[in-house]
Amino acid sequence: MAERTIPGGQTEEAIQAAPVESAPLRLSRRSRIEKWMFIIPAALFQLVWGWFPLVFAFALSFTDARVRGPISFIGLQSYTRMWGDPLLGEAFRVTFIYAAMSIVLTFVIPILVAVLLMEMPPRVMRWMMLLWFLPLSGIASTILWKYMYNPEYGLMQGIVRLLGLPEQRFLNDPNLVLFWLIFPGILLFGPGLIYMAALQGIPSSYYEAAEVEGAGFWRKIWTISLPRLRPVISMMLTFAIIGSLQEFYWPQIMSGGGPGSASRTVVMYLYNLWGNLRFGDSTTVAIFLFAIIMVITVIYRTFYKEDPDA
Amino acid sequence: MNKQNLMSRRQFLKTALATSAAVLPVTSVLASSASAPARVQSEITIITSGWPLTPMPTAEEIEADKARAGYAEALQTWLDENPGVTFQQVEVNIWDQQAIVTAISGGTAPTYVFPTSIGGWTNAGARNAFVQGLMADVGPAIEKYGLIGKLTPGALSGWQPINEIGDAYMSFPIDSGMDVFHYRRDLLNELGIEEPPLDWTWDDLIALAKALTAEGRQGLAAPTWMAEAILSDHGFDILSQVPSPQNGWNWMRDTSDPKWVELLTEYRKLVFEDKAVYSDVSYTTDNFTNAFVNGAVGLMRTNVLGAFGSAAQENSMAAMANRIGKPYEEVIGFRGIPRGDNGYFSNPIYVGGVAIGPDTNDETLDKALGAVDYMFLGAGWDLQKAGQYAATQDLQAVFNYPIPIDGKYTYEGVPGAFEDAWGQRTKDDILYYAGLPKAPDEALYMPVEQNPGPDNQAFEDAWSTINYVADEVDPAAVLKQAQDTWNSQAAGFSSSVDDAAFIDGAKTYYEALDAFWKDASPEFYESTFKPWYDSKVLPALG
Repeated sequence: MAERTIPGGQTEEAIQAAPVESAPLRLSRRSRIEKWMFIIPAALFQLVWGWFPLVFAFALSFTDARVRGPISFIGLQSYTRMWGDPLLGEAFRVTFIYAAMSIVLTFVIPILVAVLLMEMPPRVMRWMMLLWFLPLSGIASTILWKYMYNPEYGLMQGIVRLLGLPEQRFLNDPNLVLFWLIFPGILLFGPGLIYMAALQGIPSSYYEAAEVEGAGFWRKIWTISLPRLRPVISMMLTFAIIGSLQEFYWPQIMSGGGPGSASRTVVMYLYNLWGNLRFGDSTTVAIFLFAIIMVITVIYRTFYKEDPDA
Repeated sequence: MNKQNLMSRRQFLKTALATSAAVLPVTSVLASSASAPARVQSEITIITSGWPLTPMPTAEEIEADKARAGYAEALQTWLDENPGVTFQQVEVNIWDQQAIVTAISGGTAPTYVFPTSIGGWTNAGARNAFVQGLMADVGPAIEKYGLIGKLTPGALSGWQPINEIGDAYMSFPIDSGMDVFHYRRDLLNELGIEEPPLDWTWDDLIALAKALTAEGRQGLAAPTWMAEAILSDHGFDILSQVPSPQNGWNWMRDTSDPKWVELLTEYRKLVFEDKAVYSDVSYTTDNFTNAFVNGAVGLMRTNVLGAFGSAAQENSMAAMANRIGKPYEEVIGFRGIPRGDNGYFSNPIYVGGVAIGPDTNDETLDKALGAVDYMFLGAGWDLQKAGQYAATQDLQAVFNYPIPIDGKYTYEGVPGAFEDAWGQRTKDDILYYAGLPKAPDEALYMPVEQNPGPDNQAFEDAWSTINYVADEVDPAAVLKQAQDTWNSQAAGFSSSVDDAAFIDGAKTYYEALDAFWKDASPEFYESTFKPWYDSKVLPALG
């Protein structure tokens, strides 16, 4: 391949190899304007759709907000009322259990499955990826699963009967309803594809070197695959924590939060309060949830070491 | 990758700026040219979710349902008389309280809304929502269209007290309905089961549900609220609520009467031992309707208005009768809300009205209700009915309203009457139930509450548990938990009504109830109401 020369007589390779001088970067006026032209739209978008609703909701939680008419400042009334609300405590309990189960079943399992799939022949792996990547509408899935869980004529009960197991009540069982709501997420396997993509990016030389050193299958997973997945796991876990603590539409559509309050999450309860014209109480619950998610995320980000080489 | 083909940051900005400069004048011209004729042609837009009026049906829609031709003709006549008005359809579920309140608070609600769904399906809740500004005052339209003079005395007395709030009106009446239990009369005949009497009880209902249960069919379709219904039909709504003016919130709940546990235990037996109930936590109203018209259920509680869909509609009861090959009256029977074994009964008839979203301006409100008046109570009604008949030659497609609020059972241009379409017996039975005495409504006596209060979630959880959880459920514990949760929530609220006004209103309300039950059901009065009134209400009101 012919070596390319650029004006000034230096080759591209020579420029790339040259040490970068750490001179103070001073932008021209024109560059500064350009910089702001790039930043302002995104900043405005974030302010209007991100921070303004957050600050507004926070302000609203100290009022007796209503759709029309004067709004009064009521201090911490909504906070004390919601703090003592037994149904909110129950909704948080359900949400935490849901989040924990969801993270274990739809976050951890796909990591293991992805790692194991990588050991399969490439052709089989591609087929498995294709099957899991079938694009399915979320709402359509919930409707489909509602029918599959029907205790009288649903497909799942048919499988249970075929296996000779005791009949299940599925969504009508308060002890298992959360599991059955999460179960489709295991099969859909969305996060697994991201892990597989990340695993494919690990140079094969790492594994070859490990084999030369006598490392077995599990040792390679423990010392190469999982550490190299850390940055991806970190990002996915953050999304999983936030998403599962904000769960709304699967339980809303499939079980309506029942039976009893067994599958009513915090966001569902918040939505009910809003519909019952309790706007201040509803935003207070949102603030509680925001604070909890923030604390959990900060703790996790503090202690989780993202860099595999650190 | 060839870097020379990529646009630099500076080039990108220049291009974006130049494109914007070029496009802006063009879009401005397009926008102004698009909006100019729009101002002339469409000055008022009435936004509808499809109820009570839809936009003009398309030719395809009329082809699919010929009865729509009459509607199209009537609406076009009104539009011709009201140039500049257009209807626009939006997707909002106005029957879902959360959805419609969210739309109203976000400024995206349709012009037409339903007051009772906004208020959590109680009259008191709807009045509270109106006072909070979730609906516009329709008083001027009531006066302009002379509505009071168009209603039958029964419809007027059912609508006006609920909807007149101070000097304002909450809704514009359009129809009347009531909950009833529909059953498969043909199955009763096949099985040799005697038809229940008009004044049937819950014992009759349970016996009928069991008798109708067979392989591939369950007796009773039961949404979550069916567990509540068995209690309500024994007076639970009145007897489980006690005035409590000494507290911040003026009410508390008391479910200590062992009668409620006894009824819930009986209901659970029907569900889990007799397996006579078609029920699942994931079911919606459509599931129940479809199960009934497909023969998977023998008995279903629903609004009587839903029973008179034309046979052209696939999931209508008339279509089911056609599929079976028998006249409607031989296939479908109905009974009103069953009486309690303690003598309690209810007449759930209501006059339904359309309310207007709070962001609607005066001109749009006037036109929106003018259209409703014309299409439901004016010349448009006869016009659409005559058009429906001309297009279908089917009386069942024409007579869909069993309790007309203007008393009209015949329409100009239509040969025949309601009874010719659905049978004399059907009409007589409806009128029997519509004529039952109606107990005083709390909303008419108590000052309108302006503050939000505890909702019914604690009790809805209880009904859900009773209805769906098969194992180890103690109805007494479930009911007690709901009561304690509700009372604990109520302690965090304060009422906008001062104690003196509350006590005055409550005394008047309970005195009216006392007089009503003494006369309407001496059995219920002596055995249940009076002892409860003396022991719980009078001491609380001093």
